[in-house]
Amino acid sequence: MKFVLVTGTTLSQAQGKEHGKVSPKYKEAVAVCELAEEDMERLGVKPGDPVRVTSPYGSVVVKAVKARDPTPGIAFIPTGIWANAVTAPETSAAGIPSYKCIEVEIEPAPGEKVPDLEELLKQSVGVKG
Amino acid sequence: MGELLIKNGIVYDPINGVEGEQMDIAIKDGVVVEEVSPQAEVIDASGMLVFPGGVDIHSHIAGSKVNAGRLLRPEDHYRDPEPKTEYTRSGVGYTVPSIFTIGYRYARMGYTTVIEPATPSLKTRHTHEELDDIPILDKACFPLFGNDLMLLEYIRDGKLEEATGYVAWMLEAVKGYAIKIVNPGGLEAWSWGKNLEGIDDEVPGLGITPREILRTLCTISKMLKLPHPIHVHPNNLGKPGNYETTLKTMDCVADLYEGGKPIIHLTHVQFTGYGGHSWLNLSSKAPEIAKYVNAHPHVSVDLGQVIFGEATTMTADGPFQFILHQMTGNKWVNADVEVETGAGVVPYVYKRSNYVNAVQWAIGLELALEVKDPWRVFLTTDHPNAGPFMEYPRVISWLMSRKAREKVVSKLPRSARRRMNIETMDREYTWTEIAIITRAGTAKSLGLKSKGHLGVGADGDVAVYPINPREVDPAKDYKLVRRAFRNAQWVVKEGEVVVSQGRVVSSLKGKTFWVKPSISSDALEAARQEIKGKFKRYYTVEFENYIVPESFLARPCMLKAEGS
Amino acid sequence: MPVIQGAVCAFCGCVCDDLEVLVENNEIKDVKYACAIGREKVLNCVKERDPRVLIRENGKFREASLEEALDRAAEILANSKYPLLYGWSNTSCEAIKIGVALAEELGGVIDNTACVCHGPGLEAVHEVGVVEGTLGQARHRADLIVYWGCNPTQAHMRHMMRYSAMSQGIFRSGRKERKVVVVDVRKTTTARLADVFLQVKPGKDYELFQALRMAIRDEEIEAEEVAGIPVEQIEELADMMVSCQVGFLFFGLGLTQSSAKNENIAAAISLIRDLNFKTKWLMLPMRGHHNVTGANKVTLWETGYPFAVDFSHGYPRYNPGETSSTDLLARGEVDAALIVASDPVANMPAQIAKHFAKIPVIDIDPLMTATGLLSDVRIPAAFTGIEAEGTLYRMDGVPLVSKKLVEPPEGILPDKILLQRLLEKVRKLRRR
Repeated sequence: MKFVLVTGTTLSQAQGKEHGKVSPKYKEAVAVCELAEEDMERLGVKPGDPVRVTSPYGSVVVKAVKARDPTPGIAFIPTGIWANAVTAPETSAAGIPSYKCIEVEIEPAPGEKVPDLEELLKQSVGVKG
Repeated sequence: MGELLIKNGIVYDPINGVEGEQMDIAIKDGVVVEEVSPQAEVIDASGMLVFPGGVDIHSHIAGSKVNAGRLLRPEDHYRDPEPKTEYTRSGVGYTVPSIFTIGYRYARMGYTTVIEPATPSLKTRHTHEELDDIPILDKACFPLFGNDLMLLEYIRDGKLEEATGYVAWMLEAVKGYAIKIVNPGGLEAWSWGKNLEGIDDEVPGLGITPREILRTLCTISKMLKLPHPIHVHPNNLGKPGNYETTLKTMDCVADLYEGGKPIIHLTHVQFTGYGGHSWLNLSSKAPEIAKYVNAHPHVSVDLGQVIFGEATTMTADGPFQFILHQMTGNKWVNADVEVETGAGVVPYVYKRSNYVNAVQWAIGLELALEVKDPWRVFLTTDHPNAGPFMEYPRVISWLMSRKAREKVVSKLPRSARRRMNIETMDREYTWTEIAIITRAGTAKSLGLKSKGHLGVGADGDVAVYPINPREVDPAKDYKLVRRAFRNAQWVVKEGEVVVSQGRVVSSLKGKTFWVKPSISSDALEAARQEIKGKFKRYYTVEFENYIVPESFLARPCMLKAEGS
Repeated sequence: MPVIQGAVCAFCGCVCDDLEVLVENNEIKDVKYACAIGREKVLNCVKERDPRVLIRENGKFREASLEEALDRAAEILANSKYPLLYGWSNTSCEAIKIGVALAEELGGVIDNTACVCHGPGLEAVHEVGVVEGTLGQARHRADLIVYWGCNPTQAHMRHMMRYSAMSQGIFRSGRKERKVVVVDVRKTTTARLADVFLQVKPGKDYELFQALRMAIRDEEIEAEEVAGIPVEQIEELADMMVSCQVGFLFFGLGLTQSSAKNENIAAAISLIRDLNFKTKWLMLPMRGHHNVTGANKVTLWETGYPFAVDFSHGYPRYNPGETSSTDLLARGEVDAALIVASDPVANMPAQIAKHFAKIPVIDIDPLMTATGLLSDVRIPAAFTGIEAEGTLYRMDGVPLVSKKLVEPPEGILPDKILLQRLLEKVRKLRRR
């Protein structure tokens, strides 16, 4: 299903960040995708189920959660490396990538694991050595 | 630091009555002395002009609004890069240069002390951060007082003692040097989107007038024995017909004068010396202002001389900058500072072919030529408002040479020439007078006793210019004058050679002067307690975090206020 | 127990400076007045530190001495032809100044995180100027506050209470003496506190600004709706904006990071400028990191430009889109990176961050981050604002100095000192 993806800061993302990016609290806070309840129903996923988010720039599995600010058609992933697996590198000659309003495809990903930080690093950025 | 001997230069040192004598200047440990040992480093200044290091009394070089100007104008910088050298950091010009470049360019012109004349108290920590970053120069800053809400309320309530304590506390808290007043009352009005139109208008919500603000602050400045008088940018700056407001502003403190040094300094008077009713019939009222200044020793002024070309206007006068934005359509920055002041920035180009700009150009020069006492009129361009400081040598050449002026005048629009008086003025400044309006007079006005002269005990700040005042006739060879003042042969700061053959060869950290006002410790403590008690109501920062401790400054130099 | 009064919060751009911190045996026991995020940071961040100095060898980390790590870092930088020095928004101005000197020495690029947050707002200022005021102007005078593309209830938690919608000012007091408008693509928690909420279509803020500009000029908008908002609603908002006494617009990344980017901000500024011909209006960006404003300011006064400054010609050059870190990385141009107090590997799109895997990276940060995991030299630093003091600038440009609340563990140094030592080592290598 097609969505417009918005990424941004949240309270728990900010708190998690201060615990360190390798902390479970941080992953808990940001490796999620907030969706409106009716969108979840249409996708056939329940809160806590893995979903795969795919943009022209990449793909990532995150946990579906109920949006606090539900707007059908809009998916929200908190700022972080999970979100940035799919954000757009184009800077429009302004230096800034497009972190918001990205067209994505979201589908249920039953059985797939939400990668932890190091796994995701390997998958979407690369490793040294 | 060691010893230095500047030999055989032709020295002008007006404070000590030296007028073009060939003599040696000896410096030891950063200070001028009677003599040095034979081991001293020697500079051969034979046949060259020797002045004390220049002292600029009014130039916007540091702080939040200067930085806002830099942000507004990247295009200002693109075409004027300064690559790094073995001795210097890189940077950019032009009208709003980056911070290192400001220091180097001033130093190359023989200036060693420059004053930032407007800092919002709340952001003065920022001003000090930039001042500390300026290489070579000594400096100081004037906090803005004409629109502080707490102060205006004291004035409204007739609490002179509290108002005095407030000013004393604030100067010490932010490490300021003198009282700056910009559009008194008008910026509090601007916080509501309004302005004042004269010195007897009421400030909205407070019921007091600019006249009361000016008189109170003048009284306070005297009571605190501050070394420099209130430094005033009056109401109505930049408006046709404003010379009357300027005259009233000067006159409103006349009765407070008790002899001695002036008690009010009117700054960049070019912007406040306008006759006429609109931009279409703007005229020069410099002669009227000069007439007042000549008859009233309680006033000093500086020029704000217009330079044709690019400028960046920046003042605390928010409503004026808005008017300029309205007039020109040029991009505009406004930056209000809670319960204290405002600021604005608008780029501007002064064009020789423009009627208004031509009249503006004449006003500054007319003022310099008509004020008889050079100790009460100083050279500034109100950098970067009327032009960049790098153009001072051009202004010097206009003052020293009628021929140089005529060359410009001949190219001005005929309509403008009818509204100015400069063509009838044949005064030509002497070397001594130039030394006064660029260092001796400004140092005196600032009360910086170790600056502006070369007597024993003075700071070892010296400029040696590659021109022989005994051979060159500045009235005729004004281009040689210009060239010489652009790039000094040598500049010495605190006994160290910082410029050689027009190039910066060393970069030391200058001092920042600040003034400890003359007030009893009981009175200061009472003020502190009172301000602390009400601070949270006014400010969005904590009382203790507002204060800039001396340890925050790289090289603070405290001056005890003892009057003139 | 010693209580530190007036402690300065080093989390977001609000830089609240009224915290009370309880310290016992060099440990922070309690924090008063901080928001949930600030409290979390002050109380807990030091517990999460990774104190290891690491050097990558044959693809694997090994622990090293600080001296060895600094030598290795200096070597990497001195051997680089075009290094990127990135981060700077969570450290002190004192450290940033050394960063600028280091970039100049190396002929590299210094860029700060504004590049991926409010940089477009700075670019808009180059274009059209800006009409700003310090936060106290909102607190004391504003009777209409607009939050656009920002969510202070989640990201700047004390903003509304201390400085804006609910603050107690001299001339305005509390929420009831003001009107509040929120414009966002989602009905955020902030939106729930608003008198008026406009839900703008994603990516259509620019259109809405231009429609508002038309409406305040009383021009007819020939459409049923703009950006998903019925025209009547736009006209109503325009009326509100024109008829208030003092208005204040706060905007966030919702504008800088979507569609029109810098042009969104230019349109916002133009609207506020236009409104000043009718009444009084001011605006401010909701800056994120506690000293990102300082990073812009210091870089600006030292080089003439606020971020993305290139020294490869021996003098400062600036052209976002060309000299910005994101573009240099995307094009694979830089050949080494020094990251200070930031995590670009996580915070930039993976398609950009990929280049970090291909070049030597030095990471200076108290915490282990994605960038740390990918680095070749990893140097732990003290927490600025907790274990080290430093000058910083609030989102409105008000300068403050953060306090040292506790001592860092032995051997852990502040950024400023680490960078000074690195600069000295680099200079020594380059003079050879």
